[in-house]
Amino acid sequence: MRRVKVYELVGSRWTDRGTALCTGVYDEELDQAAIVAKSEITDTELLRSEIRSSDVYQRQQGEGSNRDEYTLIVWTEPDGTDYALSFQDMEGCAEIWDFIVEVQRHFRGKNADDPSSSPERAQLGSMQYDDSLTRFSVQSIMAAGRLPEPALGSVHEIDKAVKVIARNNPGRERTCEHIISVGYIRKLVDVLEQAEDLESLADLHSLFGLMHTILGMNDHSIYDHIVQDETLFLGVVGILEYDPEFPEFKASYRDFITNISKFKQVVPFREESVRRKIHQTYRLQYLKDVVLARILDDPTFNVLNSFIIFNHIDIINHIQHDDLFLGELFGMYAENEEGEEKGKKKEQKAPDSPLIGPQPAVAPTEAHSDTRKSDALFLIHNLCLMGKNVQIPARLSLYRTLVDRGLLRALEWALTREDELTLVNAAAEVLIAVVDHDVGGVRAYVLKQVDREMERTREPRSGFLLAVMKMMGGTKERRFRAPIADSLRTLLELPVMDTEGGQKGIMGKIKPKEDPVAEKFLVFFYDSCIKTLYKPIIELPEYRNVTEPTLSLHRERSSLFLYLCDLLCTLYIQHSHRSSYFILNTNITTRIASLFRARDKHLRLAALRFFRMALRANNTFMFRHIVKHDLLKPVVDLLESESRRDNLLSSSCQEFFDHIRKENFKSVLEYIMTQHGVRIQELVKVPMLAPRLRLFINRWEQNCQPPPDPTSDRQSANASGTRRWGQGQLLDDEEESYFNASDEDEPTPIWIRGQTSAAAGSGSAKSKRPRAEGSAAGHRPGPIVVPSPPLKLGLVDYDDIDDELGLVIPSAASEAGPSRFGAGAASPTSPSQPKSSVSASPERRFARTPSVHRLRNAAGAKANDAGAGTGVSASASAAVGPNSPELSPGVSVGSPSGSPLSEGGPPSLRMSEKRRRNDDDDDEMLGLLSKGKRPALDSEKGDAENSPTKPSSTTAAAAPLSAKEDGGKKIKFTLKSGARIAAAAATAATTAPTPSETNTKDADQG
Amino acid sequence: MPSDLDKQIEQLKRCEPLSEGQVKELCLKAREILIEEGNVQYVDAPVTICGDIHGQFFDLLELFKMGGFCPDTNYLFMGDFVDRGFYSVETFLLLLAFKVRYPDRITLIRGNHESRQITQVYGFFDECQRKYGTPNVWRYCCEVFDYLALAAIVDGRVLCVHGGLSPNITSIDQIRVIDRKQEVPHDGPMCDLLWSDPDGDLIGWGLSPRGAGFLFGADIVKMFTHSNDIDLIARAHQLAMEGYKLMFDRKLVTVWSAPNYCYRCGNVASILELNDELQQEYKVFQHAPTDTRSIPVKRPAPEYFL
Repeated sequence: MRRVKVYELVGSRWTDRGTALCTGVYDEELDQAAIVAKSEITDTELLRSEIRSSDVYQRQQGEGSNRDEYTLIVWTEPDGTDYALSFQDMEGCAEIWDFIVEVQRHFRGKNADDPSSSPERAQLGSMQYDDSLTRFSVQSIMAAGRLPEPALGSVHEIDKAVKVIARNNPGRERTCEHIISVGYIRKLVDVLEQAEDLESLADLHSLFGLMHTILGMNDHSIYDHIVQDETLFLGVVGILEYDPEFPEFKASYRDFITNISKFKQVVPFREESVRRKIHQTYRLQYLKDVVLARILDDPTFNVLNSFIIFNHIDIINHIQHDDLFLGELFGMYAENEEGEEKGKKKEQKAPDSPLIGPQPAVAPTEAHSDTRKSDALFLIHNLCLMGKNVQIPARLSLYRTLVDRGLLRALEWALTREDELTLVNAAAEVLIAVVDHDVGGVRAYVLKQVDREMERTREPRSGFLLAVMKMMGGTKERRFRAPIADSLRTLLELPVMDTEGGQKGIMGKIKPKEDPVAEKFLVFFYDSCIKTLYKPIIELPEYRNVTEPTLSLHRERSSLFLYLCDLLCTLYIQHSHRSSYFILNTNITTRIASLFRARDKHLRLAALRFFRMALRANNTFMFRHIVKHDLLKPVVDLLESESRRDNLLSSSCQEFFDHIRKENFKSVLEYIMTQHGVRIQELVKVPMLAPRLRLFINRWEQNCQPPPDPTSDRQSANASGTRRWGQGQLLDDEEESYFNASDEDEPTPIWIRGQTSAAAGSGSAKSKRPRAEGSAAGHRPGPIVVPSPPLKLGLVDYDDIDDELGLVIPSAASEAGPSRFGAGAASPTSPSQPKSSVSASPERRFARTPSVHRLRNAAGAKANDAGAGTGVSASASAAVGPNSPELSPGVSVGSPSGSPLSEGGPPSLRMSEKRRRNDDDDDEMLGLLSKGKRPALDSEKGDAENSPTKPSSTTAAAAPLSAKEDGGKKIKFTLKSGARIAAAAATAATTAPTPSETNTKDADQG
Repeated sequence: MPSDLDKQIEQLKRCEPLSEGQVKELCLKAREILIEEGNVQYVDAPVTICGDIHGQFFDLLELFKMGGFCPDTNYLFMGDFVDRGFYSVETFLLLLAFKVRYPDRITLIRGNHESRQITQVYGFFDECQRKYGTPNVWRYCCEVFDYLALAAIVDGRVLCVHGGLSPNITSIDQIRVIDRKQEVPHDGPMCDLLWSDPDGDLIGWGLSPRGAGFLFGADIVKMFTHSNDIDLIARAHQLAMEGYKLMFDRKLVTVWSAPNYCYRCGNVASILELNDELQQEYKVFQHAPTDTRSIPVKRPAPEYFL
């Protein structure tokens, strides 16, 4: 009796049928033998399988065992079920195997013929594969070591045999070797020709089946074999034109390959091997995308895909180092400029000749027709797309080389050819790829152009940048605008290194690291370009002078304004002083305000976004500017006009006012209420606006109250210390109290009713826009007056602090988590819950942020970054911890005494808060930057594992009591992260095609 | 005399993609309509609620065959129109064309796949690139994604959202002040609505294995439905082998409308019909039979340089 596990193949998975004791039995009377496996536990027969004379049994090596250490026996029952016995040891396997072999020998002996010596045909009688499934038994083929010659009528049988043989690895390998060594596929193609001549559909379908089986073995060498040679490849796709599943149809792959597809060689590849590779790759791609697309399973896809990628790497590598090729390729665009490039150009003309004007007229040695240049650009485009598929280092090096060799010259040329849509399209795509990967190189190129122009014409000018801006502003075709705007934005975004350095600098650890090229580039942009770029907006009338009710704009204009507005938002956030100077100096805001009169609502929305951004940056000058020009009047107008609708504009408007309230931009509040108070009071009557506008007005009223008595302040500090934790930064108590109070007074939409109980029951889980607290902290000029804890809506102003301190039921407060989760609120029954979310929150953010902040994520900056990515004040403040009592409600958690608020926080922290807020806004752009390049799972895991120490240690420092709990939570978190990985892996394994990125944001299930 | 739009709808029903110019026009029109929708769009019963489609165009046709075509039936699609399947372009454009043609008859809300980042990884971007040779169509569609509503509420009683709840949102009204015109963020309420999942074994909130959004337990759902006075949360986002899955005392349902997901999962799909009285009827359907049209149309570039 041998111990085995019995497996049955269900679908494509081996299912465990149980552990059993296995034995071979022979019944002399019936002359039958069987393998019997009895369950270890119940002693019932798990399996009884009669041993057959046909060779359906295979012996295989178990996982991890050495050669010849067989522990598996696998076979197929006549009904098609596959079984496998996995033996505990080799000996057991050998014993049963010997038994099988013995029995088979016995049966064969009875059948008299001597099977071992005869060729395939002779075995017909004896070696039937079960119910005559095939005439060519697996045994015979194995014995002969070769496949039978294919012929009309026999292909189907061969297919079946191959299918059986290919079930195990050695069989598959041998078959593939054999197929290649005897040129078997060529023979099949011959049969194809015969079958086509005879129009024998059955044979054609059989051929398809066999070819499918052969390709389905997913052997690299087979694919290599068939794409090497064009005629063979044509034969293969020819066979695959006859899909038996669609007998009425015939594909026309051969026609496409021979008559339609065309290899264009703009610049000759001198190396034969590269040329061959290019053809091969095209064929592989054709197989993958077209011929096999429907029947492609994951393994086949992977084989083809890796084959293609490796070829891409080779091709890219070759081209990158082919000086002659690159010289000739980019040389053809050299007539625009002269000199500075390497390679052939240098020999052709003198560099930096002073005689040559701004439009150099020196003809290149050979005339480069525009067609050839276009073709060359398509070649570059192909190359850049190819580059997208290879690993990042190879990709970076490719783009750098291209930029270095004069790619931008080619783009500059292409971007001026507005009428050739496909050409400009290709150029725009290449541009995006290039700025994404080598933005420094592009900037440097622009600066070089500027320097040269300065020497020549005393005018700072970059032909390249002009071409780009012209494409953005001038083109009639909107479709290019998006990619061009994206590229421009990337070009203008501060280098990631800089941002990171900046953050560290603010934290007072490391000086900001400057990127001189980027700096210079920005200087050039703000000095010489931005006005040109924004001319269309600057030329608009000021909003006060817009007399007609709607500003009539051509659609293309309005799309341009949309992109310009969004770009200006980026600029404003990215380079504060430079952009503020431009904005304040040109009064462009008054023109953007005119856009509120545009007929297109999305343009009004874009204008609103701009002002939202202008406020968010929290710049006193900007506030003054807004007040001075009454720039929010159009926003009030907008709110008024959209107030009765529940739409995107009205949502955004409400958010706008809510934001001002939450951040408590006093001057803005004051201005709105003094200038437009009447209208606001009027709008408060609109049910949909009422909740939030009421709070807005309340805030203003609070601001108008005289400051509180400082002594009472201090007394209550302690109390507030404990209370504030409960509010989290989420709790919008005013809002809450509103809902509690106003339910009956104000008509609310039906589904808001019941809100009251929600508010009361859930205590603190109200949301607050995450960034609110951060920016509030950022703008406070000096040390903070420690607020008293008003138990009702405060009558006095404590800056925005009362957001956290407003009306809250103390018990709910103590249970609630300070994290954005507000989770505790929702689970008052489990006091531990909120705390776990407290500790989890920052860590979790780490886990998530790397995708966005990956590049700048130096270990030291992590804590800061976590906040940056999320704009979640709780997590951030927990991370910043001890320095910022007023920012770390979590600190006092669980410590009954609470940690008394100290006065004020270090100013540096304020700045970091501000920085963080900005980053939050940048998420979208960074997101764009990091598109498709989500970090691998390990990075997430790594971060998750590394980070917990930070927040918990800061918490510990501030409040020893809470530290213990944190320890527990840490463990919990680690477990969670493990589970997450497991879950991700599980989904990856079971569902769907999964790119490697899947794991991070596993969208598998939806 | 059918309008251009009707012609386009017919064309799309045959799974023939529109031209790039037509897509552009359609997307612009859609934007004008969607901008008028609230973050939480009101929908009147009766309505048929559908989950993820994921570019499985012919299965979408099966869905319509069973549920009735637009505008005969009111529909509410809970996002994830694109990615994975072979026909994200046709699927999304058909739904969008319906939206433009019958704005009151069909509601589209945003799923986590209606995002620039995700579509670049999971297939929609590649599909556009392949079918049109440029990423422009993808860009147009992504612009529309930003305008899609985040949730919908049927007769004030059934909340429909792609993913689930957010710890930052306790009242439906709070969804209203989300600045939704943006790429799906990596966290925050908007992200959570599109990414979260319910977890039957959980009390309170938990970390999501997806790396975005949260897991939420029965207590959260109970609290939310109670305090917002709603009967049911309908969501999608997770494969349900039986087409739908009721949880938490029937307070939450996952509706999944992509049969044989990824053409290999072997699941059935369903739609949820809510009648005038908001009674629920789940209609289960199978995937479309394979035929020639299910062969993905991939046009290789006839000219190649490399």
